[in-house]
This record gives sequence, structure tokens and C-alpha cells, in this order.
Amino acid sequence: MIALVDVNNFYVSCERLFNPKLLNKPIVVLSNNDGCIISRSNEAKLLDIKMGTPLFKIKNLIQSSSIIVLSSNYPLYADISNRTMTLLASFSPQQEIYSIDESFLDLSGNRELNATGKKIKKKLWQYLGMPVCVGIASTKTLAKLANYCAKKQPEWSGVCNLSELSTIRIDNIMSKINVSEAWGVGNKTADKLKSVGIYSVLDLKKSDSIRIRNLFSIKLERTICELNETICFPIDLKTPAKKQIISSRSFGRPIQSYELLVEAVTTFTSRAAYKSRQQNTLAEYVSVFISSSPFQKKYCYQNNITLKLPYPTNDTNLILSIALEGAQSIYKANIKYVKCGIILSGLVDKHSSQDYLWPIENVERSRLTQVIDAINFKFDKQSIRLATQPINPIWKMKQSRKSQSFTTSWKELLVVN
Amino acid sequence: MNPQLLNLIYVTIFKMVKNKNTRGGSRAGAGRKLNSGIYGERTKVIRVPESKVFDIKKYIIQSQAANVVDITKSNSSLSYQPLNLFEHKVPAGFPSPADDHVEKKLDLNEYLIKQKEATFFVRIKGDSMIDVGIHDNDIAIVDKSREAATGDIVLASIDGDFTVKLLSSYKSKYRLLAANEKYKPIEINESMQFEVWGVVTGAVRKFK
Repeated sequence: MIALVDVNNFYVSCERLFNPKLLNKPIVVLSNNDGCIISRSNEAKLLDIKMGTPLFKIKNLIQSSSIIVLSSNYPLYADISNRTMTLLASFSPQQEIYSIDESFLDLSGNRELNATGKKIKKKLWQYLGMPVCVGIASTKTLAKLANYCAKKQPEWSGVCNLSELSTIRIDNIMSKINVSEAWGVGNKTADKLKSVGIYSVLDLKKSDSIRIRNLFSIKLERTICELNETICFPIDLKTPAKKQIISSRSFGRPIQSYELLVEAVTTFTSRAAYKSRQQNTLAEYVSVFISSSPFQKKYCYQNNITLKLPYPTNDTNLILSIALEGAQSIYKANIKYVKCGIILSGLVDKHSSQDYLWPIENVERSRLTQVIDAINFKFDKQSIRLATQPINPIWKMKQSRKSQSFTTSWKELLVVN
Repeated sequence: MNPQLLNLIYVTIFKMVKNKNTRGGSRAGAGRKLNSGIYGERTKVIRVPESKVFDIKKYIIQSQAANVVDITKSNSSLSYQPLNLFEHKVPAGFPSPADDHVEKKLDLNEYLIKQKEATFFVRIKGDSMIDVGIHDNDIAIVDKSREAATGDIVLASIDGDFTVKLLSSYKSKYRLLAANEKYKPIEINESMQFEVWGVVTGAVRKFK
């Protein structure tokens, strides 16, 4: 048996944990740079605010319905997510962390599935103030569906165990759920499925899997098997090591000059190289991408370039020198750039890579980097940085409505009388 | 000696030698030329402390560079630093009598925190809890997982505002008491949005 536990409106729930004034009010959380809506409280959902809506499109509604708008606070969400996952791990020896707020748990051999589901819900609420829904079934796809029921249908009170229901009852439930809600069926696939007469999840379950494989993909055939209680997607225990590191941001305001682009490339490269050092990998390639606003289709300029590094490295200076060459070659004047980023790829484990005897600068540079990292860890994050990396860049991300980092910064603890 | 026997011996030896020559063995001139490596001399595999690998490589390169200088200019100022290859302590003599008694180090987290996942820190402002030893600017440790009982110091929210107070009850209603006579008890009534967020299990203060 497999359980899927997910936190309801995760980002909003994290914000409410440290600000009870947000309870029972319509709240939305914005993406990086305060662009689009990425999390909504139930009250906001009732106002028909859709996921991914750009903020400017609902300015009027926000005023008229006094919706509370917040910037995303990732340090807080990441910390609460870690705590949530650790607590969930206590319910099963096998856990797959599926996303920041979702986790599959293997409950094989558990004879009190309903009781366990309720315990999970209670513990997460009591320990962390996180409201969760639990879906239990024999496959991941069905557990996802059970979770959907637990969330959308109040009669389950947050815990839905499909495995104890009769097939007739399950089919009845499935017949009322749109096929696009099945795990692994995107909106495009759902439209295509509708054109061949498959509307509900039940239609998909009863469909001819071979025909579906020929019409769509083997993955969709597996989804059908999973809906019929055959496990095709087992619980995935190990998180694969990151194969690439991306560091990018959209700018708080568009930039045009090459100097500002250099600032941004330096900042992102420093961050990416640092991440690479943290996970003990060396990069073989560095890519740079820049883009102007995609909303101005006529004048939209997007470009990227990938360059090979002279040898696998995680040295900020070396990667930066190559990245800047790349940036220079794709930079065009008189364009308003809104986004840029760095990708490190071809990552190899530091200890299994070849050692170089001759480039001795390499050795000394890496020592220098070690010292800088140590100083930045001990003091402030950016105590020592490259001269082209500004502390307070004018293109900095807009986060005008961010709450404090309540759990990760001594300076930002909740203050209580 | 019988010349026939001698001949037989010669033939046998010749055959042996011939066999040897035709079946394997080293071929003259094959393989890497002697002393042709980057160091210009025989090399040897050694085991060195990992932390010294850079220094040793550097030393070799420097001494090679120094050799080049040595040849071109007659004045030889060989500058290399002598290296302590074995900086590690060599275990010898009596083992430390304390070895069997090495225990883990004391960790304040372990002392102060029971439920790591449910524990949060908040900064105290003001003197309302001074009589239970919680001062202005202290960090209170709050365990959210604990069920609060009357008599506990709790972090509670009243109408959206957080406060740290003593939880007590009076005539089947909750009250929040300050630990400072300057402050009046707060009576909780139905019209208030009241929640006990967590139990304060400790407080920490730094003097320097």
C-alpha cells in the first residue's frame, strides 16, 4: 500500500504558521520577482483566482476583495518542508519525497491504514501546524487520485483510503473525475484523450491499454495499468545527484547595459560555482542564457551559448571568465533584458575526476576558494565576493511583500511580547 | 670426450637457445625509453599524506624549474623548502589510558530540544515574564508538539497577536498570566480568536 501525503496550499500554510492574522482570509503567494500567483488559500480559490495568473491581471479584484498578497519566502518554505518530510519519514521506512510539499510513503504491511492516515494528519497539524491530505491506495497513481478525493471531497475529512472501497464504488468515484486529474495526464494529453472518447478517469481505466500505447505513449499505458492496481511506478528511494546546476533570476527591472549584465552573470556564476562546490562536483560546461520580455513578442530576443571549460572545475574565477566570454558573444545592445542565468552541466564527482599535475594555479585557486568559502560561512554570505558582484544590485528581484525568515535567521526571529 | 656426445650436447643447447629466442621474452628496444618520462629519471610509487599532495607536486615542479635555472645560470640558488612528509603522530608507546573513556561532546541542542522538528525559536521583547526568568531579548524555545497544561509557559495567539504568558484557568475559562505584577491577567472569552501555539520549554541568553 502506498500513501501520498501533501500539504494543503503549502506556501500559504507556511505563512499562516507565523502570522495568525492570515487565518480565514484570502491570501495569495507570488512567484519570484512578484510575478504570478503560485499558491492560494481556499478563500482565494473561492474567488476564482487561478494558479499562475499574473498579478497585474487581477489588481482590481485584489483591491475589491482585500486579498492579502505575499512574496515567496523560500528559506521559510524549505525549512518547513524539511521538517514535514522528517516527520513523515517516521511513518514508513520507505519514503519518496516527490516535491517540496508531497511525499509518497510505503505502507506495505500496515494493517491500520485509516488509523495511520489520521495519525499522519494529526501529527503534522500538532507538530507543525501544517494541514495535510492523505490518499492511500495500492499504486502511486491511485494514491494520487485518493489524495485528490481527500482534498476535494469534504466527506473524507482529509484521509481517503481507496483500498477499502468496493470496485463499484471506486469506479463510481472515478467516473466523476476529469481525466486531466489523473497523475501523468497533462492538459494537452487530456484534450487528445477527449478526442478519442476518454473523458473521465474511469474511461481511461477501462480503455484498451495497447491502443493507448500506440496512440500516445508507453507512459500512459503504465498509467492505465496503475489505475488497474498493477504497480508500474515503484517508490523511488534515492534522489538522483544533480546533473546540472541552474542559477537564474528575472530582474526586478529590465537592464540594457553590458556592465549590468556582467554584474548579473558574476552573481549567478558565483552562486552556481558555490553550489557545485557544496555537492563536491566539477563542471565541464557552462551555459549562459539571456532573454528580453517574452510578452513583447515582436521584439523578443532570447539567446544562449554553451562553452566547454578548459578542464572540469568548480572555481568561480575560471568559470566566470568563460561565462563572460559567452555573455559577450550573445549580448546585443539596445535590448531590454529581463532575465539571465547560468547553467553548469557535465557535472562529475570531484573525487572520481582525473587529477592534473601541471596546472599548478588550479591548486592555489582552489585553496583560495576554500578560504573564501570558509570566511563567507563564518561571517556574512557575501563578506568576500568578486568586485563585479554588487551587494545591492539595481536589478535585484522584487520581493516587496516577503515575510521574515522566521526559522533560518537569528536576526529575523518572531518577536513576542 | 666422445665427440659424438659433445655434438649432441651442442645441438641440445642450440635448440634450447633457439626455442628461447623464438617464443616470447623481451624484445630489445621495445617499450618506453629509459629515463624518458617527464622527470628524466626513474620514478617510484610512494604513499604520502593526502593533505601534502599539493605541496609535494609543487616541490617537484619547483625543483625541476630550479634545475633548469641551474643549467643555464651557473650560480645555483636552489630554493626548496624541506617538507615534513610525516606530520602525523606515529602511534607508539603506551596507548592513552583515557582512550576507552572518550564520550561524545556535550551539545546544547540535545539539552534544550526534545522534538527537533516541532521546535522553534522566538525573541522575547519586554519584561512581562521576568519573574520566571525570561528577560527582554532572550530567545525562548517553543515546542509546538506538546499539549499545553495549565501552569505551562505558552506561546499563544490572541486575535492574531502572539504573546508568551503563563497558561492558567479560572472558573473553567482560560487566562494568560504575566510573570510580573505590573501586568494584568488576560481573560480569554469566546469572542477572542485564541490558540495555544506551543509550549515554551526553555530560554537562552547571551551575556557577550
